[in-house]
Amino acid sequence: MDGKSNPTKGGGVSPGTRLAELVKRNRAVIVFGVFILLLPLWAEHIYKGISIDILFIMRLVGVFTIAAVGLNLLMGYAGQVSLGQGAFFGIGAYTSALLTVRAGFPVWLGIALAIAISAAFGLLVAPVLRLKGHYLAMATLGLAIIVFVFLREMTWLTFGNDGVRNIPELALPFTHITGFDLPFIKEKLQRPELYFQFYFIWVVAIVVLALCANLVRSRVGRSMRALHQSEVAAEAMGVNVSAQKIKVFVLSAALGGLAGGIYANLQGYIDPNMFSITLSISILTMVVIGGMESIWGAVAGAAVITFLPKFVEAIPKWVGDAPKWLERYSNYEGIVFGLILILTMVFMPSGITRGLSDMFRYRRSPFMNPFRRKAVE
Amino acid sequence: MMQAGDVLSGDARDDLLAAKDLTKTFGGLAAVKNVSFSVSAKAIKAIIGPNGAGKTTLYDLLTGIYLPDEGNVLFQGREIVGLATHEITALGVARTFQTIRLFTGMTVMENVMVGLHHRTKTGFVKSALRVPSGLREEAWMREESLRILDIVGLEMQAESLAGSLPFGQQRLLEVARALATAPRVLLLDEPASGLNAYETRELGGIIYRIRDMGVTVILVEHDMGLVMRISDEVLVLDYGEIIAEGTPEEVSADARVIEAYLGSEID
Amino acid sequence: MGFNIIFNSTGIINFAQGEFCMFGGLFAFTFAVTLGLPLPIAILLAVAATALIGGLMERLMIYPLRNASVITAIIATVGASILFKSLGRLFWPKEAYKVPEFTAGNITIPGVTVSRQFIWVLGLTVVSVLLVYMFFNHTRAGKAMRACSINRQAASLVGINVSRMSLYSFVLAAALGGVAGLINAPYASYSIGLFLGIKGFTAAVVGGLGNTFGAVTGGLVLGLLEELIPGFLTVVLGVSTGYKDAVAAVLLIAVLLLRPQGLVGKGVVEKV
Repeated sequence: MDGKSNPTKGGGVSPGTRLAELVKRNRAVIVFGVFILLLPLWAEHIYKGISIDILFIMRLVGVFTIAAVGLNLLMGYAGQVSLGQGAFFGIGAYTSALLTVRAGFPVWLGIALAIAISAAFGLLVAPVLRLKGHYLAMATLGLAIIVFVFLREMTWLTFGNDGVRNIPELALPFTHITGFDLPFIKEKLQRPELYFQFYFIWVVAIVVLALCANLVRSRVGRSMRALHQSEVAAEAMGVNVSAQKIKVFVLSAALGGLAGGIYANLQGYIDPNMFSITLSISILTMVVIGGMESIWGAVAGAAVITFLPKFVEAIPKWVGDAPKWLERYSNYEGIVFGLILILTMVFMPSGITRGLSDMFRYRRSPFMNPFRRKAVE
Repeated sequence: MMQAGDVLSGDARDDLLAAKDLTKTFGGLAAVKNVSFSVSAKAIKAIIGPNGAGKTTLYDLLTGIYLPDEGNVLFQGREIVGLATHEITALGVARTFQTIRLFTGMTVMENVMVGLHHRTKTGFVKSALRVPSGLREEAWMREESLRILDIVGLEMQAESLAGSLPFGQQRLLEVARALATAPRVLLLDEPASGLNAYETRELGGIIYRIRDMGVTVILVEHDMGLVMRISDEVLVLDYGEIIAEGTPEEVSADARVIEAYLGSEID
Repeated sequence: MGFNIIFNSTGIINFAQGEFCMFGGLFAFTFAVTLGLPLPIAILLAVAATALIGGLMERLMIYPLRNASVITAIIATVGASILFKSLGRLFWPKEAYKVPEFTAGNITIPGVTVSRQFIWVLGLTVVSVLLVYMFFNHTRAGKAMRACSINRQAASLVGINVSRMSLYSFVLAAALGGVAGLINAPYASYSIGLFLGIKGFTAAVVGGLGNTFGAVTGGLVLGLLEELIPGFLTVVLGVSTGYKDAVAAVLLIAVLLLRPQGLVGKGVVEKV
């Protein structure tokens, strides 16, 4: 996963070797892809077992994976803390929702423009990247607040706190034209939209993950990690640090927008409170759980955070006589997030997945004790 | 793509890098005052002086980290004051840092590959899609970085984490990383500090090798043995001003130099 | 001001500072209304309890992270912020709690009528500012804390207990946050923390981080703008006053980008 498993010397390799190399290099993608492909087969059983509609929730996991991987590029790799990923998510969601509801755009175009508008907004606010560390974090938090306030107050455009209703759902294209209404399909797939949404989102998510995984082990990824560790040294090595930061930031915003755009068309209804600071912090928590500098960790982070409330809600169904305080998870979701963030930072600053794997094996070098990894600068 | 070893083409000038009347003041205190000097191609020039004499500040001015209050820097006859650091690096002025600033969380090879950044061009889209040209470039970067690591004798450690190297090797990696930018002028900032006698001797050999590749070396250094042994010319700074310039022999006989160093640190 | 104190001695910006204000107000409610204690005692207890939380936070979280990277520290204090907020919501679930006014009614000074509460607010602010100023300039601990902010290593070399100073600074900042929460009363709620936090940070940045009086000036500037801009918005632009909530954030970003050393005086931000 770190770019060192490729000793090929460029061109002149036989197709067979290249294929083997391709499979080897992308084994994470392939294994995960097969898992996703087959997951619906077990969905019914899982539902009977633990009363959780796994497909339904996995769609959201996919959406948040995209947003989290975007933030991780920015924060885990390039080292620029952003508390504003939720804002780009919100902008994406509103772009797609308003274009489809108000202007009657097709869903796919709405989502495409969600990416574009979020990226453009990212570019617009990119000057905040001149700030470092705490200042950048505060400024991005400020951005998140500003976006939230504007979504709430620009009622002529966004309907304010009433939210946008009746957003067209992400649906199989041409369902009414082609034969997807056929009885046998209906019989097999009681919820065709759900299956379509599930597969659509995960195809997008896996493509995004694979592209990001490629990116971070390339020249560009190296320059990102370099400027994370020492901006002065990266600049002295010929890396245009400010330009590189802006590019990562815009990419991260675009991924946030993509996630938001899909989200809006999944939920059918959005309002500003969905995109408050809490969302930014949830995405941050996903990255922290998944691990800094870990592309695939984003999936784990998104899954944990998205499934957690559903598990808690499902507990009464398993045990029948669950304690009363379990009923409203949202009341103490913040406590869970807060504790995860604090405990992870204190005990495993490189993230939970990384921290756990470190516990079993020291990475690469016996000199580095990962539990005492200190600040670089 | 240029090679690190590119020897200067026919138009090699006498003054590859020249500073004119450089002045930089921090809060009323002149860190560098009216400093003018030049280096010719393929020379080894040492800059010495007591601690706080303004040597590192001078480097920061030459590489665009600070803007001088006054003065110019000409590289190959071209004004480089006002260019961004990465632009200056791309033109061919590279440096190392006195306080080691390696990318400690990356491997030795990756550190060098960052040095190759401006000599390569695969961008975001091509990197994400792994297009063949990008893969070829990546392969070239690996070969090239191994070749450069070989110059400083670190090729065996290519896959180690930079932060896990012993101190002396970290210094060498700093040199290799700077070398990867294919410099015409290499500014070394106290490369021998913290090295033992054996490592310092090795370093002298490496500097010779770099010079023989056609790279001009400027060396800020406290180790007088090394300075006297390898440099063609020595420039002495004290309180931000030049107090002497000449061959090692001339400088070590200069009364003002002896005075400046008296009671401070002659090794 | 609380931001300033922590930043001063630890170089950390505490994202949970706003939640200290929240605790101040909510504790005051609990002590004064729920437990029915006399108001002065309730206030003292509320400030003390908030300070205790600050101390616990420092010992349990900041101290173990003293060598961690900036990102780690940021994420941890963000975590603390959301943790505190949720705890507040758990124990004080209502939207708003009314803390009794210190002394009800108005005072008429010739020409103007001001509420007694306003006098109290003004008085408390002045007293805390003076106390903080005296602390930093005229006590050993205060001077030691300033030393820590300038150079931790040097401070520890001359025998200052840096870790204890870090603890003190969090206690003090929390206490001040608590006072700020009281001043912000009569209404206290679990949800005010973040907005208060960003306002406090804005005030600190406007005034220049590391500058106590700057923070006060910054607070005044921000307070004025927040009162003036909504009026401007409704009268001149004819839009809703809801945009008011964004004033602090806009100001914050503008100041950070345009004048990172703060609007008042010289600051501590410099190129590294």
